[in-house]
Amino acid sequence: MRLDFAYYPGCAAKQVQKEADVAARAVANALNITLHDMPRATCCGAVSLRETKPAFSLAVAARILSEAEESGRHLVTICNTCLQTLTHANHRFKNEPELLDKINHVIVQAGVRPYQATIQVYHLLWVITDQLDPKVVQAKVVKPLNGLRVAPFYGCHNLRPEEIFDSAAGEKADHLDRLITLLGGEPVAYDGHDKCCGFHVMLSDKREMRAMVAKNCLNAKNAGAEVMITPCTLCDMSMGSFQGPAEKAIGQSIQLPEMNFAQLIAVAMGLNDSAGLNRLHVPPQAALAARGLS
Amino acid sequence: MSENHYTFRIQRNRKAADGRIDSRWVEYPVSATPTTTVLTLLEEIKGEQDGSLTFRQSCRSAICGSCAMKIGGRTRLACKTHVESVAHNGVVEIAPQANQPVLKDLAIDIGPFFTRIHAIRPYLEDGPDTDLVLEQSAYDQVNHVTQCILCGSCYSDCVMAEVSQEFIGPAALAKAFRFVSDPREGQKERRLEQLSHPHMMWTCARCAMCVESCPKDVKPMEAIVKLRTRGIAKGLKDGPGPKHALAFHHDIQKAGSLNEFTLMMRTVGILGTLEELGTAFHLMKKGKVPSPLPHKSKGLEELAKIYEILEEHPLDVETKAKEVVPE
Amino acid sequence: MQSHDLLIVGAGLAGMRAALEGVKAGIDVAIVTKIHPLRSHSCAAQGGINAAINPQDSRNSHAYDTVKGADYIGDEDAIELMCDEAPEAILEMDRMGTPFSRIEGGLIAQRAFGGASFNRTCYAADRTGQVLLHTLWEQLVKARVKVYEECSVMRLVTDAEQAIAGVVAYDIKTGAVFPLRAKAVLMATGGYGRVFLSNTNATTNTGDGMALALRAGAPLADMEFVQFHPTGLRTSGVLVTEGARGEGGFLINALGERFMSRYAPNKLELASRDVVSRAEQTEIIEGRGKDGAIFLDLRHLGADKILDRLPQIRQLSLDLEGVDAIHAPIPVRPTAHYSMGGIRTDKFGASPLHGLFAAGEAACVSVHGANRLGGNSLLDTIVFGKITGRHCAGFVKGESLRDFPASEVAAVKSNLTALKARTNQGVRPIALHHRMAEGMNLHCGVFRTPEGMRAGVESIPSLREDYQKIHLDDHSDDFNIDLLRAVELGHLIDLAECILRGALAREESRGAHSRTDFPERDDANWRQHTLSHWDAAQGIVTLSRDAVRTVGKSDYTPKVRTY
Repeated sequence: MRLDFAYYPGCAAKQVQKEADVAARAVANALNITLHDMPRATCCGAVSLRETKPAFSLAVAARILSEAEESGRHLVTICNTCLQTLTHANHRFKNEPELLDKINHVIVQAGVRPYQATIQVYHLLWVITDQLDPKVVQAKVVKPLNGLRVAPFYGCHNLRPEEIFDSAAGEKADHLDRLITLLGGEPVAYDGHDKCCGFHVMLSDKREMRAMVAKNCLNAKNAGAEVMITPCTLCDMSMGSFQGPAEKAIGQSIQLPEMNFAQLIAVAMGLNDSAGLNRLHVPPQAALAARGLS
Repeated sequence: MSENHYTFRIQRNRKAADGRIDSRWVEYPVSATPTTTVLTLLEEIKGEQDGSLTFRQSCRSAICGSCAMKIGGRTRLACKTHVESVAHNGVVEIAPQANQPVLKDLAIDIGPFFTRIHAIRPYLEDGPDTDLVLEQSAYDQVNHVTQCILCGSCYSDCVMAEVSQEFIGPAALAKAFRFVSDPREGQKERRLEQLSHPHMMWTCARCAMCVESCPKDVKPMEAIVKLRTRGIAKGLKDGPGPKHALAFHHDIQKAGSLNEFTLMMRTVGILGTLEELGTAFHLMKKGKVPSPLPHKSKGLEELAKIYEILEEHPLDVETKAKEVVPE
Repeated sequence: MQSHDLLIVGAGLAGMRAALEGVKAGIDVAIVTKIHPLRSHSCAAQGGINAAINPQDSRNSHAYDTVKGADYIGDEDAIELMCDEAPEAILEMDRMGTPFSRIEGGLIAQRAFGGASFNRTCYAADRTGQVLLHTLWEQLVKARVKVYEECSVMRLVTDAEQAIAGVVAYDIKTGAVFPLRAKAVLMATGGYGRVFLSNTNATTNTGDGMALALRAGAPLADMEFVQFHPTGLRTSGVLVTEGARGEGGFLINALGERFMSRYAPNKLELASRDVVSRAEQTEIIEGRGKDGAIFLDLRHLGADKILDRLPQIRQLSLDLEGVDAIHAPIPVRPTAHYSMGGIRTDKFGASPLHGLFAAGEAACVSVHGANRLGGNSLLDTIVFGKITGRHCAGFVKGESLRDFPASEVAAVKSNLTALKARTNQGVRPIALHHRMAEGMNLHCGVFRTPEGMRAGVESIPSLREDYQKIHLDDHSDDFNIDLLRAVELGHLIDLAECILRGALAREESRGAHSRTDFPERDDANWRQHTLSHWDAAQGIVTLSRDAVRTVGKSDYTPKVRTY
């Protein structure tokens, strides 16, 4: 099976969370998943654009989806918020034909190809765990995780609202758990795996955001996690880069290494050059070394 | 249908002499068909095993909102939850709602939740904003939000309420939207102004947990998004929340992608940005400074054109409740 | 001691509507309610509320339908008053913010309901009661009415002159017993569905107000008239609105026959509730049901209409019966639903006991007679809540607070203490409740036999005896629901006795009261109300009769009821 996708990494993966993009491309390459860049694609606008300019946000999404459609490929992303924003719009386009007509009427005037609502929006994690034979993935695992206890942090925007997504979502989602098992690790159950990283209130409600990060990380750590992974570059920024400020806010050390799911796959596949571990806030090297993964 | 054996693992809470809550887990065996409701089985336990087990319930049909409790990790109405759907290896774990004080066993003090509802002035008010011409569609937004039965499920599962005593919460905001979207309401603008204050509509983290928890499909977060849109449309742009949202729109329109550096500047201002420098220092150590020159997408003139068209000819794209139209 | 001009017991639609009227009249009004107002069972009313608001409809027509539906035993002065006040009462609710479903031009939508000659049932999808309840609660908050939340009334207190002095209340949250003085008490406590094992009601519907009034010396009227709703879900009894049939739903038996054509050839599924319930029960008895139920078939309406108009019904059937109404018929059966009887009042809600008023299902005004029409109960609560509230306000202006005997509080305290102190050897309350309620279903259901009713009446002394032996598991003071339910069970037994004795005495079939030995209506002897009284000396319920209030219109002359 040929897995060919229009690749939409999202803004964070192009800047501060570049390591996720690098790892995702390397892992996709190793698994024969072809990721095609989308030169015309802009930022998805996240929920913020929906708030300020609801119609514009739908037009922005339609333009992005249209670019993928023109290339004949479904879209794949590595950011939960991009996933939700594009899926939300896509879900409406597929279910509200009049809305799609209205939006197409606008984008056509701007020279954009009208969107026919034929595209699916996927997360790269889903492609790996839903569309590939597990044996294909396992065959590439040269350094199994040897029972490494990994906390899956799903975040929000790949889970909710459940009914819009093109894969299992809500309480049914288990992609990260399956992935961890596939890589030879042990998924850790803890309160917080489907809660919020606080990214979207990082600047407006700082104290609350740090409290969320601290709570989620501590719960995972107390449940025995050695490492945490997320499927989202924004969750990475919160749970990883902001773990320090969160520790300071609660006056307690947590020190739970956090990384993007693609980085952990890269480690298990021996793609160390692409794993970007040196860019992580809490160094995971010791935890990995303890399982023979240095 | 054949019966399965289940273990109800229930958090029993008692007020101790010093006012604190003594909490322990007690297990009760029950047998039931998979579609038996959790409430039916709680009643069975209370009736036949331990009459002191305490919980609220009343209508048995998911409309009075009494029996919201944590079942299998999420807040649900016990009267509409099938036992099999929440059993993990035959065990059903039940606890009181979170984020609120516990009174006894599964009953919580509903006072703090209702204080929040009262805070948004939960009643139609007279005033200058009343719409005089009514169309059939005038109630589309109202119809959806009035499905709310104020059971508290969303508040119990709210991740912001978990870390903030001040946050008004999803149910109160959905209730506020019920009035802001009502053509009969006379104080829409005053309400939006109040809702722009700290810990109100801009404090929601948009995790959509409330959308998932709601047993009546109210989608509180969607109501919050619509409130924000109406607030900004009324020119209520002060505070980090609206500034952040507006910065997004500016960046996308100009550059096609987010500039995290200027985003921060616009959201929290110069002082806030300096304050964030502590955080920025963490990022810098890892080579993670946002670039002041973000990546530019191709075809940005298309975006500018789309923006221009929509400014000239605004489109109503709000999601609506299903219309209830008689023949 | 706390005191108020008017104390309203119960915070459903009738209680809250009355409170607003009291506030408007400038009196000091407070509500005592054992559950938060929004948990009141008014919220479960689904289908709608009747009012002749369409210019092509008329109040006279609404009144005529109601008189006929009541099987000519409703009080005609009250029925006319209700139908006259209905349109304004609805428009007031609209102005307060009720989100009624709309038609073109923003007018309130109306649908067909059983026994009505016009589509006059206003609605909000299939959750009309819920939105009305929330609207009134909103207004209650706005008016800052004092509400004693989660406080149950344990006793209605009268002075030496047999006039209302107040109530003894029990704070469920803390276990505190306290007196509340008032010049007038308005009972708006709803019905007593829990008297029957299979019922559509909330578990909190235990007829407390009726039982308290009975014991305080106020008569209850027409308790034998119990409405069995044609479409309670088979397993739980939970209600499926008549609106489902109003929207075109069919009733079919296990053979797939649309059997109503044999029982009500003109109105079919939309005949009056008593007629439809009897038809269903006959089908079941004659072996054309399945597992004790027949079926409500909505499939032909199509998914869109079901999802638009009856979304809650579809969800309830999924949640409680595991049946998707879009693809399969819903198993339903006649289920105890509504009490036409209640505290006897005049058309202003005043009972014969000085200072005691009643409104809503707790009252027997009587607008529903022997059978209530769908869509008239919400109307009853709103209209008579308003009228009675206003009337109470007038009443208290000429009254002063009465002496409140301190012994009453002590008596309640010692009762509760004694209940809690029982050793764990007696009867489990749930077992006693089950025995009583199962007996009521068996002996006083859709069809009533003389042997059954007699067996029911004869079971009462042993129920009362065992009630003295019940024991509790919960001995604590705070939030003791175990204790509360034991008290409620006492109320239910009193009401069961009223129902059984009334039914056995009434030797005819009328409306919801259908006897196998007297299958015909007997206007010559029985066009009268039954009154139940508590005989404290004997510890039993005794009966007397009361005339129907007529207005002398020839249209209202009893005729054979056909649909």
